[in-house]
Amino acid sequence: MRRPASAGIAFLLAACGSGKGRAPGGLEDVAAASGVLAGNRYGSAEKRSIFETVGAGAAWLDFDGDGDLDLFLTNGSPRPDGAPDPATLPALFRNDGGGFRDVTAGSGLDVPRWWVGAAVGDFDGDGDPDLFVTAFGPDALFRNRTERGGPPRFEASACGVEDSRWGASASFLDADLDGDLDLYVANYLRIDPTDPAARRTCDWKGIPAFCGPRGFEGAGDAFFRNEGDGRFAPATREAGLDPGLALFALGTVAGDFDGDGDPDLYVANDRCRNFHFRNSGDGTFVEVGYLDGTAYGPLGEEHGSMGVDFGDADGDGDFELFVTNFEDENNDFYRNDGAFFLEVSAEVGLDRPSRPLVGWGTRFCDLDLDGDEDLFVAYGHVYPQADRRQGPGYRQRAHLYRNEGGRFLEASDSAGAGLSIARSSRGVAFGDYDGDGDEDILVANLDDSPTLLRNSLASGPWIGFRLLGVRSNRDAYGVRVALDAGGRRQVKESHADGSIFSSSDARLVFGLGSADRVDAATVRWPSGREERAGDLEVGRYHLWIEGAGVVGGSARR
Amino acid sequence: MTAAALLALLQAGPDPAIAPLLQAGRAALEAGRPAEALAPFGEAVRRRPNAPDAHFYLGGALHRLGRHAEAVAELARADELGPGNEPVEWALGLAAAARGDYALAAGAFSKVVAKSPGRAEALFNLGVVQRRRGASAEGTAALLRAWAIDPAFPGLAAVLAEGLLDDGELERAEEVAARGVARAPGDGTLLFLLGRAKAGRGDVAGAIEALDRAVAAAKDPFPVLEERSLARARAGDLAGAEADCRAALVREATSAGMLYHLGVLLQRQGRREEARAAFERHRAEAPLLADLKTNLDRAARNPLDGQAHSNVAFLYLQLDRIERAAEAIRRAIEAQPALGQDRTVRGILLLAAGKAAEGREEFEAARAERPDFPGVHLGLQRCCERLGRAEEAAGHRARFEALTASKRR
Repeated sequence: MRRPASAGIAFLLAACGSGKGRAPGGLEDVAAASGVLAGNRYGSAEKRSIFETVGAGAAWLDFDGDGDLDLFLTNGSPRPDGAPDPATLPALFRNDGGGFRDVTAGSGLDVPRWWVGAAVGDFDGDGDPDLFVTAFGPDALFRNRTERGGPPRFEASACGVEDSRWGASASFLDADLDGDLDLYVANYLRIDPTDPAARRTCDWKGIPAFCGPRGFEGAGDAFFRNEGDGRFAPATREAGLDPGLALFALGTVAGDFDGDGDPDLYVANDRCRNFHFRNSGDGTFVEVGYLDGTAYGPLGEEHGSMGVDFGDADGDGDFELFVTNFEDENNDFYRNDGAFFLEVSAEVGLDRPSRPLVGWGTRFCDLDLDGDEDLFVAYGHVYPQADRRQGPGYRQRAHLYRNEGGRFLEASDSAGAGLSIARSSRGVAFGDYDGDGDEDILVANLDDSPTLLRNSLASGPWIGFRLLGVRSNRDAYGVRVALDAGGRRQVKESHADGSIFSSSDARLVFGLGSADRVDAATVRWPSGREERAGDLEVGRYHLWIEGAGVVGGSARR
Repeated sequence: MTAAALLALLQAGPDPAIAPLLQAGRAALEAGRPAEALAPFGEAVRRRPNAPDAHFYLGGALHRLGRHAEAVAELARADELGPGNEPVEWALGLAAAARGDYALAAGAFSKVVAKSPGRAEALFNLGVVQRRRGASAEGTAALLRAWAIDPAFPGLAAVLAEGLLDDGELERAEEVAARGVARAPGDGTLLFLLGRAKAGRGDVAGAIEALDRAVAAAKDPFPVLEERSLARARAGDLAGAEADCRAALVREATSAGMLYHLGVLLQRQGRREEARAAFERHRAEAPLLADLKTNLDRAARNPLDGQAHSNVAFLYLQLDRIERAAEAIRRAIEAQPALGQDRTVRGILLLAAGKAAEGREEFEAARAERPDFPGVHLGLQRCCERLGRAEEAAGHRARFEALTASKRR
């Protein structure tokens, strides 16, 4: 059931106004000051099993349709056996403009379970964001029933995606381009946390630590086709997304990596090769990672991969892939050379800073609004025992890598006090919660409160787009926008997935660097339709509706 | 006995009851006949079990004979009986390092360094064993102190440059390697390290130049060819990179990195079908090779880890590299002598000795004891293959795969 695109435009426009003022500074942690006061628990502090190390996630979503981003945070349980604890709940925070207010109670999301990751998508096309949450135990799809201006109301919807395997991250994507969102779920491994075997001890650099993931069975991922009637049908095998072996999936992202107009999928697997599923154009996929250079490290090494994202980092119009990895393995930067991806992390300066660290959530985004894609990576070890040795410990600082002409410089020390905070971080969700035109960052920290990094790295000109599909999926996931300004072109694709365990703001923000005006913006919708607008006002978000173009008088035509 | 007491003893000379024995043993040692020294030193220990010098000399002789475990025991006893004695600590460090007990060696060398902080040799040894046991920061610190005292100390430039490279200190690694090369222009190892440092810093042309010289100078050009292949690929010389890569693969067919790199090079040259073949092979073998690397690293960090050596052996057995499997098994037995009684272990050694029939008997006997141990079926497969019993080999392969399926990725 799909609601006509015109419905809801009025309140969407509220999200497309001018940006608020931005104070220069950097990335500053404002979690406590903003009211984001929610810790999480994933088992014991000692982490006797790999089971206790996977979580926590976050999602930005405007659940109440008031134009600003609200926040959802997952939670687990203090019990190492994974049993739910009634007092340990996920959290929903409403953005009240000046801060956040905990509105979890009675929202329908106040369900105790070992929740891991979150994905946001309007799967029923009714104009509001629904929430899919992965778990150890059944995953759940919460249909958003919130009335405008009313209290949050989510309903767990029995729609066929309640898989009991250990879910990690998930991607909503319109795989078959039929206008509704299908769902891919990355599942981690099979484990019985009540079994003493799950708490076996292995040798890690001479220190006893929990075993895994090797020695466990991979859980196997799942793909669900949206039937268009509020239900999903399992379609992993028929869609070609069952590669015949179950690995240890943690991160996933959907994007048009080969530029042929349909969404492909990339899956980051822990301690084995990664998958790159190329969409054949009909919603079926072929795994090509081991042939196109994206499955392994630069010398064919299997990495312990976690987070993933894509973006046009070198400005040539196609998308690079970036994958965060375990300690002693650099994060992988796969440059898109057309038919092949070449791992060039060493050449672009991304190998050395990451080697001693354990990488998790990440995203390409132009944090300093200078017109190119920077990278943010959250780090944190899985072994508390890391504190017993010299070198990086269990709690690690996040890194900002500034893009300087295609090379990345680790710039955390000059990027604000927020990056001096060391935590055992996991999921990261990116979103402009304060509406000032740059992306802010929510870092979910394991067994800890989150970090909310308000971004005031730059004060340069920018332009943003809120995209609304009509023939294409309503969230406009997979829409590609090319922006021409100052003699160069930037290309981005709308997506909320990627990173790890998390869902980001799918609006597209372009920093303009030294340009002060936009020459043209071109949108390619998943339906195949292309639209163009010129002379757009900068310093604000524009609502762009498929078939109608930029609406609301915000664009000067 | 206290250090002061030992010193007094050494100054005063050995206990008259064992002095002739020690004298006889030392004479044998000095004559290059350590085996002959064992009897008098052993007798001295028997007569005076609390005499540190008797244990010290016996340990030294055992060390000279390559009996490192026993040497460590004797020297540790000497250290216990007469703590604070630098020659004892030094000898204990050497024996422990030779045995692969790097933690013990580091402790012993640390004591020597505390007494003689200007002794470059001690700092060098301390740095080496610290790095081998995984304490890279402490190791590098010791090596840098040695470098400050005597940069010409043999081998120091190479070890330090390699350590700095591993630590990601590329600029300093290049500086150390360059100074080493200036002193020894034909040193293939230093040229190789210089090339690695330059490549890491993005000086690809400089790296290739150093690696060209290293290839000419190196005793074992395999790692140099690998490195030069990577540098040439970065420079866009894909044909040259491919030639180096293939040469490296001839030398080391189980190099997963080069196998994959070959696929990349072929792909970049548009030779898709050849690339696919290389990638297919890599994909099939990668998990095994990754396990192999993990266990080799583990065994290198702790040579006393018999399980790691044993794992390496069975992984080589899977790759049908029997000689290497046997080599790993021998190390496993050295670390854990009880393993020598294991029938699968004996089976591997017999297989490596070309005695497939006898090896099969051992594996069959092992199967009777442990029918579900995958290694038994793997060994039987390899024996049957060599005996021309293809059908039986296939059966064992199937059983091996069934037993390991739940653990495979």
